[in-house]
Amino acid sequence: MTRPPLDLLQGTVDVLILKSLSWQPQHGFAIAKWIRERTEGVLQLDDAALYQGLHRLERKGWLASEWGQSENNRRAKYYHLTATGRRQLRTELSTWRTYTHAVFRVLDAAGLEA
Amino acid sequence: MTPLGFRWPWRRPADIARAVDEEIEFHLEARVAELVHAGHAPAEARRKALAEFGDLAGTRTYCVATDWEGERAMRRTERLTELRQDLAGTIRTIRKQPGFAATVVGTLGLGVGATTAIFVLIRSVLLAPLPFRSPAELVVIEQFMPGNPAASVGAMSPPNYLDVKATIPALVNAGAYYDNEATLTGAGVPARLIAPAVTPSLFTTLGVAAAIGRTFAEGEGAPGQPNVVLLSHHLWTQRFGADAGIVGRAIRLDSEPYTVIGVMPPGFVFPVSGADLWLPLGWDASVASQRGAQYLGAVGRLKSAETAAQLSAQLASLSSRLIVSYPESKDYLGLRAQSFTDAVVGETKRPLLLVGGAAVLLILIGCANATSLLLARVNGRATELSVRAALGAGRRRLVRQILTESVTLGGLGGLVGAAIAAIGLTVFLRQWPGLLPRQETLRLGATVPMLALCLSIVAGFLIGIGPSRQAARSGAFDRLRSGKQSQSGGDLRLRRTLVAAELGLATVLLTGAVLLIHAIGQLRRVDPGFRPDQVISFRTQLPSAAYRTSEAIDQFYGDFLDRIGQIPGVDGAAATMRLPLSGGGFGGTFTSSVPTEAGNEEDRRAQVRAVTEDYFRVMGIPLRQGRGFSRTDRRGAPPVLIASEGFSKRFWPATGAVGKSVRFGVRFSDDRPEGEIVGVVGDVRAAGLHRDPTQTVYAVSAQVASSQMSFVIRSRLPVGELIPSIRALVEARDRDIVLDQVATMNDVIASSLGQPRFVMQLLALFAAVAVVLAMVGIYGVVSYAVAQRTREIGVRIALGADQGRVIRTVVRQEIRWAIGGLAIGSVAATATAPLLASAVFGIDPTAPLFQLLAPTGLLVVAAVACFIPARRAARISPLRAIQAE
Repeated sequence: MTRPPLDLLQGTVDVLILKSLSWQPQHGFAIAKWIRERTEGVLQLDDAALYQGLHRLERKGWLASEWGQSENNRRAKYYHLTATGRRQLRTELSTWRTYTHAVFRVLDAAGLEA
Repeated sequence: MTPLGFRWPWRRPADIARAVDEEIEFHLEARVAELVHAGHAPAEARRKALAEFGDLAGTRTYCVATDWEGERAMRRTERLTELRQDLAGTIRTIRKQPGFAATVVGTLGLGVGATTAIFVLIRSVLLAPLPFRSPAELVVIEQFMPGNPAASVGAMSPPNYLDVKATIPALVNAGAYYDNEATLTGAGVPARLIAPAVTPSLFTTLGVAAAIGRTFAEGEGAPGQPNVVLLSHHLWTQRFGADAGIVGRAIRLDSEPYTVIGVMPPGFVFPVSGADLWLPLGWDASVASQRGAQYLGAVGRLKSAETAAQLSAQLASLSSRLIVSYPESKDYLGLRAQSFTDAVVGETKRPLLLVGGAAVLLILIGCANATSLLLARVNGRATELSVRAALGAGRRRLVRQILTESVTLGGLGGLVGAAIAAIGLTVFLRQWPGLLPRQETLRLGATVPMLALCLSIVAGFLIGIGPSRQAARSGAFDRLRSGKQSQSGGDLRLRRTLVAAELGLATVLLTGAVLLIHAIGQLRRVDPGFRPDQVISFRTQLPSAAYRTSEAIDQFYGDFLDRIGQIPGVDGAAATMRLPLSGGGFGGTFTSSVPTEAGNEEDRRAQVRAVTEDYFRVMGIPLRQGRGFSRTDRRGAPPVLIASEGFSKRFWPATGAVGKSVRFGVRFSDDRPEGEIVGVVGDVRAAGLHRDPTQTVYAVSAQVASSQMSFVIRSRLPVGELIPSIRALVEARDRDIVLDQVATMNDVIASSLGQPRFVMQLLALFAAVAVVLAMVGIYGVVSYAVAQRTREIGVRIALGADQGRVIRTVVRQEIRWAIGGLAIGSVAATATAPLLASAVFGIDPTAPLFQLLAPTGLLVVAAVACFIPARRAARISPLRAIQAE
């Protein structure tokens, strides 16, 4: 598959991170693992982009972090959504839905639904 | 832990980097564990995990940078929040205790205002460069009498100036000028204008070009050249409506047409006292005989500012060469130079710096006072501060809170100070025009508020240092636990020291003021040699074209004086070429028919003044010997002179001057060079009340006609009634005659004391403020000390101590500090008195009585300020006192 453009990629990383944190606080490794499993490897998001994204979103105030104990008793940095982050997730989700919906309508033109 | 005993809660870049590393390492290890679990070899798993991660170094850098940015933003927010809290606290303080706030703001405002005003003045008078190209290269060249440099007037003769200009290698150029006036007619009301005559080379020497047209060309001004004139910018705008086509037009000066060749730029002022227009100055060959005529000011430009020493050597060698060539003129051939800037501001420097020093003392007193007030306030809030400390406010936080408060109050003081400075300077410019050289270049502008604000913020920090340390100390928990506020011994000692310092500084100011007031009072009591009461003076100038002959001039003045004398209420009218105490004067050396009795080496100099025959009677100058002038001493009659007593006693101490004939450089109008002294009159202090009387020889104006005369009228009429009737007389006669400089003789005396009086009034004002501030300071500290001891005093009263004894105890204890401050202040005042004497004439720094006056007065003030709170304390009922804590 061809690589999506960089700005699309960055937006994608952001929304994936936000979504992955929407149920509970998580550390970076768990987030990476979750995304890998959910996308079944289609989106090749490398760890570097993920960590840069985490720090960027924390700087923006969408995420907050604290140090805690991991499952095997190691010190790990856990991220959670802030109120702003949660609001942002809602906005991004609806944007994405509108966007993909529109793209599909074009790609399936004169197709199934028309 | 920081040195302040305060843990820094924030992360440093190294902490952030460590955290990022830990986070990434956790990820890698977890992935490796996963891969090993899936069957990879550990080394292989590590490689694979790293490969999956992607750009590790870049991510690390990115994350550290992003986190650091976030950290800094957080700190900023936090600081801003704290600042907002502190400002809100300060505003609460000001609202709750407006008296306290107003005292601090007012105290600082006075000091800041005074300092700002004086330093703006110092900047425009002393520091701002003169409006010429490279002013440091400009020098003033003077002539003096070899062997008696102090006696010289400095003015040069044209041949000397020309020799200097032509032969001194250290100078690239030189120009000369003399003070001159001209009457402008035909452009509004006739006006007497300041119209210096300047050589064309003066403008190139100064490096200034005309704004419109051109400056004088080489050769203009020499005899026979057409009349040309260069206008000042203000004359051009005020009299000629800034007419752009002025160049080439003719204007009438002294009833003759002059062609305008240019207008100078607005900032150009030369000489420093200002000029309305400039006329060209030049000579022909006949000038070579005028070695003895001293009337030129000369300005030279050095090759570079470093060649000043060479210039002195070259002038000295030129001088000795000239003495060999012209031995008969040797008295006129000493040459010397000084920096142009020094020549302009030299005499003003010391008084201005002195006043600046006084202003600094004032601001220090203000700071001491404000610090003491803030300390008292911090102490009153000790409980609040320790609660805050207990709730987790660090020392640094408490320090910042107090500093915010002091700097805010300081800033408000700055606003008050800027207003005071602006008002002060405006009043100064209006009340004392022309007191200081270049003061007209002073602009209020943005400097005043900027300087005031800077000063006040520095002051705000200064006054906050002590109190904020005190606040940090209040953070100790034991105070909160004990619930007492009595551990303020250190604080009280600091406040007493501050007040003692205030008193010391006030002593210095007050001593200075007292010495000055005394000196000026003495000067005012000095006998000027004439009786100034009921004498009014003014000046007239006849248009020279209409009064070309001496006869015409004489006739006009004789007739004019007769008519003035007939005005009811006028007791006498006379005229002189120059009033005493109004500067300038015409002098020279003389030779005499009968040898002087003072020895040949004596400097035979005297001022020459032309007066009308009634002058001595109108001015109240007594005749000592011989006769006065009479109507028969006129043109054609033998020239007669009257000598001053000092002149007579100096040169003919045994036989007196009467009967001696003397010859000056001046010629009498009918070309007879010599006059006979026929009388001796009392001495007049014409050069200044602080100077010795001038050795003067008077000529009768009928024998040395001059078109410009100052009149003196002895009259019982007030100025407002007399002057209009005289003006009517003038206008009935000739509309082109200028009448100006109306003043009573007492005004003339007062303005001759302008500079010292200005310094005296400022110093007196500063001293008065200082005394009030010191009084407020003492009062505050004593009230506070007494309040601390309320309980003890109550117990004493309960035990039977009477009021008087309580008062005595308190006053005795507090006044010790005041006496300490006064003693140190007196020593400092004695040390600075010679400084004062060097800055202002007429001061006797050793007058011990007057040095004691200030500390004694301040001691009384201090005692009163101690007594009031002490008496209040003694009146308190014992019961309430014991319950007070």
